[in-house]
Amino acid sequence: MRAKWAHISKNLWLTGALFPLAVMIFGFELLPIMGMLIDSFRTDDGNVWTLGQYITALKNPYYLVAIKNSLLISLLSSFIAIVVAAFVAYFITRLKPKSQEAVLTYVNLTANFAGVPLAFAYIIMLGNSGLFTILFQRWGLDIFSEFDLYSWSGLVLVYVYFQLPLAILLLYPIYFEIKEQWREAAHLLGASDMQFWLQVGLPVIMPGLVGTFSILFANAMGAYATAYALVGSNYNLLSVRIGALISGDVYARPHLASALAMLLALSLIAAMLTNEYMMRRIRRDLK
Amino acid sequence: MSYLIIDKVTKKFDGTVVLNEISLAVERGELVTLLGPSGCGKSTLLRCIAGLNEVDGGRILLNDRDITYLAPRKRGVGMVFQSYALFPNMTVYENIAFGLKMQGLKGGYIAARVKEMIDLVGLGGKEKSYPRELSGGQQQRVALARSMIVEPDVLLLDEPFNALDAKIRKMLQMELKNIQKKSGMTMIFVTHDQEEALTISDRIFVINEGRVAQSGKPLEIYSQPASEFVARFIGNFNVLKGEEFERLVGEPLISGKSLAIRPEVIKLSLNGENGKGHNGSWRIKGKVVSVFLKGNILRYRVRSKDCILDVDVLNNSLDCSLNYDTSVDLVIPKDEVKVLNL
Repeated sequence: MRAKWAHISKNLWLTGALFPLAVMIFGFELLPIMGMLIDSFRTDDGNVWTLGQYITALKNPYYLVAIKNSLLISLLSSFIAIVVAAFVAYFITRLKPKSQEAVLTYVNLTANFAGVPLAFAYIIMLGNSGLFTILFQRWGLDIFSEFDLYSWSGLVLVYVYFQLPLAILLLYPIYFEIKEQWREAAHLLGASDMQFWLQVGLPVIMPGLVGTFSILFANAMGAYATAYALVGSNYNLLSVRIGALISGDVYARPHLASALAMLLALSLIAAMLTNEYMMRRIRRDLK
Repeated sequence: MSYLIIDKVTKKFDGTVVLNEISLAVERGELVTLLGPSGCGKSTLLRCIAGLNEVDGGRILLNDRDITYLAPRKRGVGMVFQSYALFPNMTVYENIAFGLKMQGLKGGYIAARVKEMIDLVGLGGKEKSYPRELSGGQQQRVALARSMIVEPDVLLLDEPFNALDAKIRKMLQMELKNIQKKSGMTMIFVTHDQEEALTISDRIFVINEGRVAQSGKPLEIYSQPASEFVARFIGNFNVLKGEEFERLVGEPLISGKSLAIRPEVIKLSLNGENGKGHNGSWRIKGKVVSVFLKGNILRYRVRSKDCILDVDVLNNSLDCSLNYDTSVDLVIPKDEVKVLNL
């Protein structure tokens, strides 16, 4: 009986300790999502239930382009970042511990450099009157003559910039899952380095790669400040459109913004499920 | 010419000499053991043979080929690791088939060979299991099969049974011995467990401080230790300095050298029992200091003339009655006292 009471009291204490977290999740995650979900099924005046907002979002070419652009830039920047980060993170693990620490500190620093300051930094460096743009012009090197920071390629570059450090930080620990003896065993069994990576290394780190890709994709889909500071409304992105519909750049349509936000959330869920499915196909042992 | 020759191999780590011009030779089809305490260099030697550590000097010849500087995959050497090193993303079948797949062999041949190996190591029905679904003993069998399937010229086993419990360990020792006999494969087994080495080996190399301290057949090593180190390491010998032994038996002997006596050759009896010692033995008196139960053996620690001797006797009810401070007589056969030269 006493043990039962002790168990109940421990459970109560644990529940109590989790209460603030539950309140926060409910107040700042679930309530806004539920609000958005409800709003997305309301007309602009909010009085009547409708599917009209979704029909507008999926039929209006303007919003369709925004969705397409967001998906494209998110996929492309995530892909570039994960490929580059996969190599960089691996080489960091091969450095001496002190060097690893130094490099990771630097990567951490850059991972936190995003939003308006990042856009501003790029404008100063590579904008129309940017430091390097002018410097290379003076030196007679036309490296940046074709490059426009305020275009698709400029946006991709900036997206990759803020995705890359995050990818490196997330991928770095997964390499420690690969035991040195697996590599040694594979080599003694006649495998080359490439064969080891294809047969053992990559499948082992696949869950980490897939998880990181999902996070990068979500990070890019939701990126707003950097894109807005860099291209404003000149480039049609989903997050920028949602922002514009809420702040009312032309006129406010928060219910349509909610429908777009729900589509954005759905794309993230779809990406996660696809990744999960692919991962399970490759790592059958994790079933 | 021997099948595997290690010729004056030296290996240093950060200036510390781990292998000190070590030399040994292994014949084809032998199962030899490198036995020694932790840090003596036995695993390093194994890794040098496999090519996983580069040597700083000396040569390694295998089947008339100089493999000293060959890449691991070109040496014809297989290895079973202490941690099994199974690929977690592959089934038992895929793990075992890995080596043949890397050789580019065809599916039908691979399937037949894998089945053969699975039968050999007794893992039938586990083909589709993943390593995490297997016990330690089963994982070790997969590791063994995976290494053997490619038919290496020599198979290296680096303390393969260390992580297993005593019962499984003993069973696998016997199985390994049988598999080795059946396959005729040359194997080098590393262990720090004397009993394991004595059980499975055709020959033992006792390693100390990066050199071979003694080599020979198990019985030879056990009954004729060449040095104090081997005597202490291999069989829990009683090692006494010459002066101590002279004091103990009351006769002048060989001063300046050490002597070793196996605990099980000393006969123990209660004071006054069983008459006297004869010409072929010494009889001395002592008192039981402590008793250790070692299963079927009881180890008595006996003090006599400021010397401590361990005496092993079969565990039966009579012997159990000898408690702390019991006066006993010890009979030491003269021909069982080994003079150590080193």
